[in-house]
Amino acid sequence: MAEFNIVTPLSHLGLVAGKGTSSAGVLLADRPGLAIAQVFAKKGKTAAVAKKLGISAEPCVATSHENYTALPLSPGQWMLFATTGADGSFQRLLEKQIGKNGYVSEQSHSRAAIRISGAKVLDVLSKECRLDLHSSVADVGFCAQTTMSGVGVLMHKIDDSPTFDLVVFAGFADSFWHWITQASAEYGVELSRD
Amino acid sequence: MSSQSNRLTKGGHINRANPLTFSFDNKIYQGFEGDTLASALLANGVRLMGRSFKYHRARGVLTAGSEEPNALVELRQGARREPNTRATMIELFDGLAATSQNRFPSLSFDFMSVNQLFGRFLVAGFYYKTFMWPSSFWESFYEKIIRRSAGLGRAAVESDPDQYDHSHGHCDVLVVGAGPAGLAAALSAGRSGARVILVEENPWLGGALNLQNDRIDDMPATQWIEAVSKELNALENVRVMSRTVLFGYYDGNVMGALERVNDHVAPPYSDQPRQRLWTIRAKEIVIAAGAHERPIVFDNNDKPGVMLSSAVRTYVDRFGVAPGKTVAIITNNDDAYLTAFQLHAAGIEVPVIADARVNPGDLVEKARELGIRVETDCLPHEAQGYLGVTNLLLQRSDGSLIEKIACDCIAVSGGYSPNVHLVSQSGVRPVWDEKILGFIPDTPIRAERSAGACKGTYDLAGCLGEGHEAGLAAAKAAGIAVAKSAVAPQAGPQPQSSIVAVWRSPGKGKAFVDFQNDVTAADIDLAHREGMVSIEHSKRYTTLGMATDQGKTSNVNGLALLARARGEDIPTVGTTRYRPPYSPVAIGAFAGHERGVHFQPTRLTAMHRAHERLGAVFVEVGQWLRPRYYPINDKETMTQAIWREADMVRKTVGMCDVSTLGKIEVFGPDAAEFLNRLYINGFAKLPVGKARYGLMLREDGHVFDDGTTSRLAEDHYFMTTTTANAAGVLSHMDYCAQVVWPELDVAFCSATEQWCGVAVAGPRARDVLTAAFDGAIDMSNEVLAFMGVKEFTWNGATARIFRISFSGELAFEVNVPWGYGEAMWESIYAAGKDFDLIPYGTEALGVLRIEKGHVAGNELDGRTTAQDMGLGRMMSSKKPYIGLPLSQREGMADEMRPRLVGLKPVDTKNRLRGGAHLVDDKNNATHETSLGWVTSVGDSPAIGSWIGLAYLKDGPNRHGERIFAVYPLKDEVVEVEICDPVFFDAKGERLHG
Amino acid sequence: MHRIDCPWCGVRDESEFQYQGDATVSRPKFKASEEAFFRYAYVRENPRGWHTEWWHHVGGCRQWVKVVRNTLTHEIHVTGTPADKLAHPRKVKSP
Ligand SMILES: [Zn+2]
Repeated sequence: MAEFNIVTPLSHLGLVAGKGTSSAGVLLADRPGLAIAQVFAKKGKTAAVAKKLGISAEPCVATSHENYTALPLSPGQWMLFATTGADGSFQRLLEKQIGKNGYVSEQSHSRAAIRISGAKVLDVLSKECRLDLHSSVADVGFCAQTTMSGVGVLMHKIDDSPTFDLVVFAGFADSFWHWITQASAEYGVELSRD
Repeated sequence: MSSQSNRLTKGGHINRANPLTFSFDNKIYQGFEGDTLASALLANGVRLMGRSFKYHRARGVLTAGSEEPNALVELRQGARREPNTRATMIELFDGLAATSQNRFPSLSFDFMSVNQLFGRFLVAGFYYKTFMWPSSFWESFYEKIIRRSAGLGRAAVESDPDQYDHSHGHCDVLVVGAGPAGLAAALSAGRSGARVILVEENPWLGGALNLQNDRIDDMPATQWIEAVSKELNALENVRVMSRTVLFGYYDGNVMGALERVNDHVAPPYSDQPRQRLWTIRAKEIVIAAGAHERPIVFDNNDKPGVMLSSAVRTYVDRFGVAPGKTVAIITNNDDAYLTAFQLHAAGIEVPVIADARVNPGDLVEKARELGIRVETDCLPHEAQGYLGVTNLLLQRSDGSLIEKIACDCIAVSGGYSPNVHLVSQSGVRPVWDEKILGFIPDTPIRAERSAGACKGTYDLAGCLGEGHEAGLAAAKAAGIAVAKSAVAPQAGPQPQSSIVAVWRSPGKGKAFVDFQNDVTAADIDLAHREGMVSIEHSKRYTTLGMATDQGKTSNVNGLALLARARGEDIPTVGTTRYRPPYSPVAIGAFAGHERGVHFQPTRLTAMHRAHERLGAVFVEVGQWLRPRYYPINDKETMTQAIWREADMVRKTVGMCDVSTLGKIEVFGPDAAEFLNRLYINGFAKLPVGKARYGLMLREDGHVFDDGTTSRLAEDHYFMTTTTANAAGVLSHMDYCAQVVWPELDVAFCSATEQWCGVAVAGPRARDVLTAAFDGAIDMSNEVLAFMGVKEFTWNGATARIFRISFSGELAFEVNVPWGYGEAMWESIYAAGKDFDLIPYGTEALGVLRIEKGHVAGNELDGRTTAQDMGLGRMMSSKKPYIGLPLSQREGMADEMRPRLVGLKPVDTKNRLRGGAHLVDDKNNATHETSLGWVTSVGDSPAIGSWIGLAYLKDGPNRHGERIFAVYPLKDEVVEVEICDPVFFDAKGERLHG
Repeated sequence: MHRIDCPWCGVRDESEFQYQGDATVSRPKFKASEEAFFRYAYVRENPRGWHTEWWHHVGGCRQWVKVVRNTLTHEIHVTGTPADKLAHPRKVKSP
């Protein structure tokens, strides 16, 4: 058998961990290996699922727990992220937690997550993001699904510096990364891997 | 190097310590930092800057701003050459190279200026008249001549090396223009805490304030501008964007803006874009766009040296340039007096102020006190000179000549036209204001308000007050709590200027209305005589206002002349509706980064790197890149590679990346019922652990998509779609679940990228996979029969194996999570070494499925039914489904519709072509005699010739007959034999191997 | 450019949506006549003025959004979910 190697959507770029001391205007980090699962509530069970998972069912607001973060996608649907459990164990855990109230689709391998921060983050995002990301509109925890550079993006505001996570389909990850690094170049950009 | 002969010894907002070298028509000049190309050329005594559009008349600069119709040049060279750039808007940088345009061989001697002699043939509507007959001459002859003689600049031939970007803005209040009204509006809105974007097309703020000696809040205007600019920049909620023009007002209170990020510096700009296209969404808009001065229409009013009065003032005041040594002034209002005073102060001779008014008012005395001669009731008759003005002839309003004045520059003021372009774009019809002789905005229909000169308010205190109020009102309307105590910036009162209409100073010569499109007063009269009485018709017939300057200086004069010809007043005639763009925008700016590899995003499969290592040649399938074929060396052609790959699959075994198929997970107690309604065949009774081929129709009864769907649990299905239709199927399912049957409890999501897949097909498929997966899964017929599905664990990952076959061979598709895809590919490839495995691409896949008569994208063309494809027997009679009702209609169920058949060339050396039409009589191949068409073809190793699939009328009943496939594009006629679409292994024994 | 208020996501640019046509026709029950299905599939009004339309928020939450829009002025009066009954404004604004 050939040498066994699990890849992630951006692992071919050979990124290394960042030094965290960069003076670049934009920091871009690949966040490989997250556990991701899409949760659906059965009809009439949205509140029950939200309660079982301790998450909000309101639009555009993320709920962050010690073990996972939930981003609501549409009525009765969420995308949940955790740092461990990409082998399917996170999906199984959630399935157990919500019981007969809904369904959980394993999505850990389906997406790439890119973290963007730095002084010029809003200048870069505003090149393609059509949403108003001003702090008066998009507070910490703001999340939204939108389209940037022709690619569907699930975005989440992590902190007020501000830092955003951009989650895209694995197939588009390379193309999206190429665009956003190019868009960041004028401000100076540091590329790394979490 | 020429000296700056017309540069004043002092004054101007230019940096004399930083001289810049530039070239115009390959001649080297010097200017200063802060100059525009126009001001630097004037400083060097260059008046001739271009040739006009139609008559190739000598033209100089008319204005000092973005409304410039004449001084259009080609800027930069080579790949960066940009035609039709306005010399008045080009900020000078060191090394700038500009070239005049629309002249041959040179600007001062232009061969095509003979067009002037034929002027009577080039009148309004000449395109329509002269070149109509014979029509065959249009393309071959007339168009070429017109394009050569009546043209503007040349676009670059090479691809543009600069980058362009897009950006998106959001604000409570967008302020258009940073003149007195705009600054006051930005200040009041900004101070109240509203998020403000202030946009100014010039590099500096202040607008017309820069040309006035007034005081605001007890300081000189220029000092006030600086103080305001400082305050605005310090406010976190205000963004000031200079060098930016708002070019379009769109639905949803959205404005398009072009930011000239780097146009003022020498390229290249490293990682920065040259220009940035902004889309700004504003809750409220304050339009403070100012007003454009307009010329007076008199004979030869286009000679270089004839300039707008405000422009003359700008060149003196802002750039320290004397537009001429002797400047005569003609006017119908007060504005030109300010110019006269300024010229006088700068020591430039003003031989006369020719004022059309009989009683102009106080300024006359002031002028005379300075020793400037003022003639009242006085009009220009004609400007004289060869390549520039040398004399001005004056006349009384009754047409009697007064005298000839020697001058090298004429400053003209025909009054101001409020800049109503943007409000007009929003759908507001401007209304005529007789007091100012200009159009002003009517009641807004969007969330906007106008303030200042663009509303016809010309006095400074009025502009400041209106701007202040508009800023507050806009902030309030945007939901901001506004302080009542806010006070407007204060300025002293100014007398209101009177104005008298001079739409055409009497004369019989060429008097230009629209300089850029060479439209004369006579053209407008002619258009009217020929029946173009509506302003919209007149505009199109004469091309008035249709050039890149959008008629900024010409529209009001033009429609006043049309009104005169109609014998009606101006409000009756009305004005045309302005449309975007207000200023020209380069296509590159619209494209932004969406060019080259980013024209659209590229989608790669998990195994992409493995395909690259194998030397795959890729093909775009939608946004996906898929291996088309894998040449074994440089010498193997595509045809050879495809044939080899297809052959090896049937002989030994092949592997193919099938990750791009759409995959959808469907959950819910009603998932089975949901799928039953989507597919023509039943899925409710599909056992868990089994897969089934399914076909979907559109509501109109035509085939929509197909794919294999498996049942993983009672309430959990795994659906696949074609690669091309994946997004469409998901949207269709959204519609069905949300709109049509909201009562069904079903949920679904894309799993296309969670899973990636490899198809392994061929007699040795089982051997290869057993080796590759170390026996992790039993693939025997007993455990995994045809259409069976099993889950297993491989290296800690969940894997799914489907016993399905597109090629008709013993075949399996294995799905693993994305991250394991490349490893799986490598494992299978390595294990295949012992079994002569080859990777195969989409082309061989196509040949294999044609051999088996399986339909694919070419057959699912949106016009075909399940019966057409020979799949009518799949249509369930036990349940309803989407498309069933309309698939029963007469025309849809007609037996004589073209239906799927196979085709073989009678002479096996012949090739077939997709798109060929089928006829019985090769000598009578017409649209009417066509019996059908060829959909897919391939060179089949298994059959030993080309084979094809086709739709043929009554096809299933004609097997064995011979007809002709005609392909007129290549002049080919091939005799073919009609056969069953399943060419190979008709009994399907191989897939059970 | 339209700015469409998605009931889930809030106000978004038109470019995130796919126009999906007339929302005043609804799919007949399976038992309905061929004629009813014919009308559903093919027959559409082309109103000048207010119209109720589907806009699929495909670049966002994937919800189908009902939009009352003026085909003449492009004004959007109100938006809602498929379950919402949306009325046209009483007075038609002139452009
Ligand atoms: Zn939405």
